[in-house]
Amino acid sequence: MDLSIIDTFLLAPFAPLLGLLLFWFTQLILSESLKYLMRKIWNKHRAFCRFSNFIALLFQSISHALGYTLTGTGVGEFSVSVSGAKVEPKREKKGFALFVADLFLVMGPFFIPPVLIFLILLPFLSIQVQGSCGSFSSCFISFGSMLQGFGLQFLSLLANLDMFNPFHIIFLIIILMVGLGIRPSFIESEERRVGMIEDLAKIKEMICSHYIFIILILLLFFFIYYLSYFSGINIYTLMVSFLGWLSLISVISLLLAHILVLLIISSDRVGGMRGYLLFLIPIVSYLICRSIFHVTNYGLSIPTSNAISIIVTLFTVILVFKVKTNKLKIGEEMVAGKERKDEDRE
Amino acid sequence: MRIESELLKGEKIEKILTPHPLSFMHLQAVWVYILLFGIFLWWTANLSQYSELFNPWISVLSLWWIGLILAGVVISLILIRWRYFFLYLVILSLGTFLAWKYNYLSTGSSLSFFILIYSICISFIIFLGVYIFIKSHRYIVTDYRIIFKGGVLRRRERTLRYDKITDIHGTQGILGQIFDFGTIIPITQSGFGLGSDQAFAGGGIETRAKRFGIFGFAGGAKEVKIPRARSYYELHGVHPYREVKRLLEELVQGHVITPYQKEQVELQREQLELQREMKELLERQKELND
Repeated sequence: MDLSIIDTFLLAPFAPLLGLLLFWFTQLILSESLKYLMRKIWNKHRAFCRFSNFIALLFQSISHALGYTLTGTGVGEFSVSVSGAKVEPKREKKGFALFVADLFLVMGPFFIPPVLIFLILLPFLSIQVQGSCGSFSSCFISFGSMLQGFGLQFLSLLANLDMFNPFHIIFLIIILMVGLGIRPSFIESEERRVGMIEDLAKIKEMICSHYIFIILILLLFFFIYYLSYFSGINIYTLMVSFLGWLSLISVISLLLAHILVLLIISSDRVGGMRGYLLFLIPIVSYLICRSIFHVTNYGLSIPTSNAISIIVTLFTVILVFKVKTNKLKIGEEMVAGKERKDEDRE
Repeated sequence: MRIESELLKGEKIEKILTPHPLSFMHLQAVWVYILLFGIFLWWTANLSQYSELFNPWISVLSLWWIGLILAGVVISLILIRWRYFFLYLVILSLGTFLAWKYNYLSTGSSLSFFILIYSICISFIIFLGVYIFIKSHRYIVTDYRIIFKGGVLRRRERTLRYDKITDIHGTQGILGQIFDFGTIIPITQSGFGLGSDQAFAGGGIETRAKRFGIFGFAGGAKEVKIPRARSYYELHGVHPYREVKRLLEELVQGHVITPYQKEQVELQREQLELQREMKELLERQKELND
């Protein structure tokens, strides 16, 4: 029996979806890691943490409101504050409309904020459908190729951000804000933390309570896949890749936000006025590189300066962690608990 | 020391407060915008891909005027205060005069450099002004009253006793929620702490047929009373907001007569009347005996 029929008509549509799931999960873990780091600086930098929470709640409420608007429910009440957000529907709806609104609330914050960056990038991108989708492996390759194509363009644009250009600085700030605001750290009270487990529990609850709609959405995906397959236009992979691109933007934003928060943590570790000097490291290293490359007429001045600035900043952060703490376990060798107790007694 | 000399006998200071610097964001925005626009203009004329367009000095000057005048109009319309528009107008006129006087009106590059330096200087002066204005506010919360003090050149002072406060209105914007500051307006029976928002709509029509004219006009106005006071007469942008608000609520509550206390006062009044009557009776009896 030729199993390629099963591969083409049953398994192939799952390939881009699984790829997307992988990226979304990376995003989830990175956002959890960022929240963990934020908790480290919570007491000292409450204003910064509250600001990031506000951004996250704003994105979440916009996603929820968008869900209500698209389903025709309408938004009756909309309010966002630092500790909470309220989005009330205009009229009560049940069934599919409620499910879509909930889907936007649960999944929207991961994919809707990066749309802002995507729209800014759109004029500078060349989007092409790559590969064909006829089997699990070819669909996976096509999804990966499209993601790679977009990723390279996005990274190239990021690497070429000129810090002497105010518009580029604004763009970088937007990226950092998206990274900081993927998920809120707390809702209602600062003691009530929101973690990855809660997010996953909400998704599980939604899937369990609306499993019929999940099957319906899967069927819709299959329908689009068959349409692409028979028409020969790979719109199915393009559609899923679009969500993958948004996820990729989020992942990169989260990584950049990590650098910022790590810089704050290391500045706290140093303490005092010397701690603030750490914030000058990315700026000073960038300025020195740009000046040297300007004098030597080096062609790749901007991307190299950006790369060196980030590497020097990360290196300084690691150095501070090594000198000021033994968090990385590289400062001194780990000693057994018993030996440590003996040393303490002495 | 000076504050303590102004206190009443037995009066105790609970808190001395000053506004948070970010609570006057509308004032800070005035100098921040001038500075950022100056930097932007210099960058556009020298480093951007459109720098050739700004080779003639007149294009730099025009962009500077348009940018600041438009901002002045927008700020003035939003805050309904035209002083910001006139401030920007004065800054632009002075800048243009200085650029002309010191021969900076030659190339776009030199003018943009002058505008950058001028913007930094003006922003610094405005920043200092705003800083002095913010620091001129002082709110002293004692166990008897709130003393509002302020004024840079003209000293203003007002005291408010807790038994006169009927309502406490609090507001906290997004920046306030982030940095934990907020504005508290104590409203009194006399209406101190209340302002009004007014809206007016009107329309007219005129038709003329040869020599006869008809003119009609219809209009309406609405007024809404809202808590509002000058920054000197409210607890503007105080930090930490929740703590201060709770303290005020407790102090106001402490000066309100409770039902039990009311009963006691009535009882004492009755006793006093009874004693008076007895005193009169005793005096009459004494007169009769005499």
